[in-house]
Amino acid sequence: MSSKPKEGEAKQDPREAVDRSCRGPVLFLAFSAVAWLLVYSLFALLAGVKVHASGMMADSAWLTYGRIHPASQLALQFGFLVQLGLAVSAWILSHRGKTVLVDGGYLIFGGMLWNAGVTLGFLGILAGNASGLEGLQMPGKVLPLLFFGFALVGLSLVQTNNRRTDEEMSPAQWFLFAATLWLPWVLGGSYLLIHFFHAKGVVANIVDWWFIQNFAKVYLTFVGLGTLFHFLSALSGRQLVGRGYAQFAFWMLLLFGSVGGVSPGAPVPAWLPALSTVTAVFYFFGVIAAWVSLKRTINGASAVNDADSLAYNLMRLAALLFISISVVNVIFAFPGPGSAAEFTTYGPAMELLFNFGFVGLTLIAALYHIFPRLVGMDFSPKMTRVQTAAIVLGLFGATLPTALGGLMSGDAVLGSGVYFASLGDIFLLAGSLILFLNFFGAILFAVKSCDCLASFCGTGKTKEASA
Amino acid sequence: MAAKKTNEETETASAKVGGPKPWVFVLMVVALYWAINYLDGHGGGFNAKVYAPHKDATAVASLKVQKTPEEQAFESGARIYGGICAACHQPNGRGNANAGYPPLVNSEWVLNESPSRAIAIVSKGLQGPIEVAGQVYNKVAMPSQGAALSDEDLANVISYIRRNGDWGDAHNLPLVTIEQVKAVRETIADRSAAWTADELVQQFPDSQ
Amino acid sequence: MTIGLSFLLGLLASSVSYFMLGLWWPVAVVVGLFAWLAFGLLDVKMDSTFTLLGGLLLIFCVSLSAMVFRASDQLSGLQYVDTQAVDGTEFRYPVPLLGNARYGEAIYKANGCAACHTQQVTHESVVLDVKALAGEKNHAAVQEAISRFYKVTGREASGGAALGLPVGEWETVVNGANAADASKARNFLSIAGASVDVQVRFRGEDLTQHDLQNPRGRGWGKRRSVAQDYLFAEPPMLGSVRIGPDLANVGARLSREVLMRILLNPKIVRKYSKMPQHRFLFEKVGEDEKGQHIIHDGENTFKPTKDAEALVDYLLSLKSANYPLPEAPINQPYTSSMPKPVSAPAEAADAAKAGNSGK
Repeated sequence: MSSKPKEGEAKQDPREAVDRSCRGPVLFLAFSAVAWLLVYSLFALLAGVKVHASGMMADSAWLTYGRIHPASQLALQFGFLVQLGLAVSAWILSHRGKTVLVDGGYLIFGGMLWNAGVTLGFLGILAGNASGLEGLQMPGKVLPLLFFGFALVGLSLVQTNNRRTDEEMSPAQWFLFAATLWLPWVLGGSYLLIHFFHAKGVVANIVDWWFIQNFAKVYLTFVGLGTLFHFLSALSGRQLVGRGYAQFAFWMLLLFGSVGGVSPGAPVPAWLPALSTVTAVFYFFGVIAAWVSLKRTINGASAVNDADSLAYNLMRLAALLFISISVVNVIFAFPGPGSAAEFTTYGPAMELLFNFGFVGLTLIAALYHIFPRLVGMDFSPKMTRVQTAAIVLGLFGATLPTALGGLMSGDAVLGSGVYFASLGDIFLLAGSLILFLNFFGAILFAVKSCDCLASFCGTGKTKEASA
Repeated sequence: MAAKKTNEETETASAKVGGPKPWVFVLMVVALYWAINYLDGHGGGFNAKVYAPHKDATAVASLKVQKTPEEQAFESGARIYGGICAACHQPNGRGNANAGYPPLVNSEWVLNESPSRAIAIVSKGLQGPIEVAGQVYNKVAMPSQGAALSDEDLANVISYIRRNGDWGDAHNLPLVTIEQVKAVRETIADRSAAWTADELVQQFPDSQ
Repeated sequence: MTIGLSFLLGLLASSVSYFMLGLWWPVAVVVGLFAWLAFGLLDVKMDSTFTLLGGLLLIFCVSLSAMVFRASDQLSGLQYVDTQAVDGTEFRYPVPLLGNARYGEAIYKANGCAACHTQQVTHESVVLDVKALAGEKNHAAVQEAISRFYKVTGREASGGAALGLPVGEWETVVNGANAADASKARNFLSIAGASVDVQVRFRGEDLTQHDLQNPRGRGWGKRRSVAQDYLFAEPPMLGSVRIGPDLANVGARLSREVLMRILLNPKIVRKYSKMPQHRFLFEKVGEDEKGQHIIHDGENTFKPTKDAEALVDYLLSLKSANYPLPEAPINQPYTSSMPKPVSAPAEAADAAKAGNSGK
């Protein structure tokens, strides 16, 4: 949408064809993601309620807190964030590259494998087969399924990127390409080290922390930044400023985000937490550079189309969250503040705020933009506003009081912010339910009444509501 | 702002698209310096046995037990005893009555007020019958150990057998000094044969 | 990019790899060379997929090496260690989980107890205690050295130093010093002729007993947890949030009866507990059922299932923070290889030496 094709270059696929090729795969992944979000919010609320009413459903092993909590985390991270990230990546890589989505069938099949893996993992955790390692709680046998599912999707995305019209890649494409490769590598590496080579003792935990760090600080961050780099410039109609900053940010974030994540009190030799502190500082350099580039690109402009303004503003909120959370994170990477916040509810709250607040909101905002162009009709605007407000309020309600309460309680036992988290969880559930209904309803409506998705269902012309 | 630059001389893209200014790289080098120092101070030298937070691992190691010269002498004597004497007199100092090795535990020859007899025995050896703690030992002669032991070694091992609390409360005598050993050795320097018990008492009539 | 600038970047890459990430020096050299070539000769363009792929692979390998492989080299080879319990008995540590406790670990894992409980005791600082032993002869000199130490460093005298050093007994003369002060104390004391021992002590809220003097103390262990403790855990369920107390040493703190009750309904034992009930680990039985572990809830009578028994066995086996290790010592009294000097024979020996006369 921003760069011109080089002279003498061959075709650039027409916009219609690109949209049509994206329709099936992206909608499938997005729908699955939204469904998993609903599952997550339901189980997160259930988990929170169990803390208040400890006797509720205490006769069922499947619904004990220790099983619901990791299962809900799996649903959020692997079910919602990764899938919506893939859907948005497919859109961006094809549209940036002005090419049809190559091998969209792989994407759908891979997505099905991925969904199967997440479902089996989810049920496996509830049944009591969790692996015991945070961040990789799914039973070990599920990981190859996830790996191959993602690899298939990645194959399609990489081919799409290769088929791009311009030789020159924009930052969005770098970030998304890197993310697409990175997750299967770290996932596969973790699986091999933990379940195949049987890492002994705390080495398994170190691999787990390595995975969590790479998942959040590299993979999710890259997905979020790639989306922001594409949409913030596309929706505001401004060209990207500060490509050099983006390049610097890319390598800094990649190199220093991939090492670290060990808390100061951990039962591992001292060099691991010290290294984590040091890499967090250098990671912050990259964060600042990315922020500078994004800020200069937007430069205070607003969305070109009014229809996009909600998505655009939501993305700006997400970017703001990104920079503020990163500032807080680098402070708490030092052992002084870090030990104070260690083991409190601050940690999980900030992790949720980062993963969902930055990446999740970015992807949902991207979905708001993408959906009408795929389906041919928009979400219901009022429902969209309600669901956005509910999700954002729910997110803040679920995380900020918990984080503050964790810091204040200090002793880390009986963190006081836990009660407010449930209130936030209710909003989150409401928001995700509305989003799900919105999504589902719009698709049904489009299929039935406005003939817009006729080609998706097999035949017929399409009626495009172009942006 | 950076996009508006039109510097045509630099052909690389960096001038047109802007990137971190040089001062950022300087800052990074400063940060690298900080990082190396931080890792030195907090990283425990990448040692597997050092856990955070900690003071410098080597500083802690160097502050460990500092033994006084007396303790070092005592422990040196223990080592010598274990190497040379324990074969016959046993590590527990009780000797072996069947084989004819007298005990050192509560032995009046060891616990004499003056260490001279003990020094003399070790220097020149012992032959003939000797009564130790009411029993007579006459089966084997004790070979001389004087050639192998320096004055300091001899002082240490005699100190050890006279002061090893594990052997009994009576073994609480002061350390033997090198001067004492030298004095005794000088006195008996021209003697070549092993002692007999009577000769010892004659030579060193102190006590008992 | 010019050769010079790219060389500098290569040097920077090498320095970061070696000094910061601590990679093996040939690897750091290779990284630097690669960076120099890439920036200088190949003029790294982000646009080539090949460039991106190469960079991604390189960084992936660097991150694995710097963090995972090095840790694995250091920690995968851990074996049994011979140590002493606090009461002096020698044994090999850690003790592997036996029988029911191993099954209990699987129950712990399956039910996600690590979602609220950690199993790692931490410490906050390291301090050094200096102990001294003075005999009759040097007692005065040692006392003088101690008071000189306190004057020079401006510290407040504590414990043995304030009350006076006993003769012939080990006494802590400096409490909670840093490395510099401890070194000074050691020098002063050894010059005065005393035997000196410097002991490392870990300090932290986890380790302090909860009493009037230390209201924030938690008493969760005698020392911090280290990698050796988790040798046989599959996997170590360290936990990352403490909504409930730390469990690394729970076997030393709580009894079977208390643990059973906590699992059934935590509010029986702790009124304000946030822990959910785990009734699925128990089965309801008739009111007149007799047995060792029958629990009356007030309304119903419960008997633990095999899972509950196993889980409690596992929890009772968690006693790691009670055993000292070289990297995590528990303060122990120092015993010298020399017996305590006793006054009488020394005086007699002095008299004998001075007078050189028989009895």
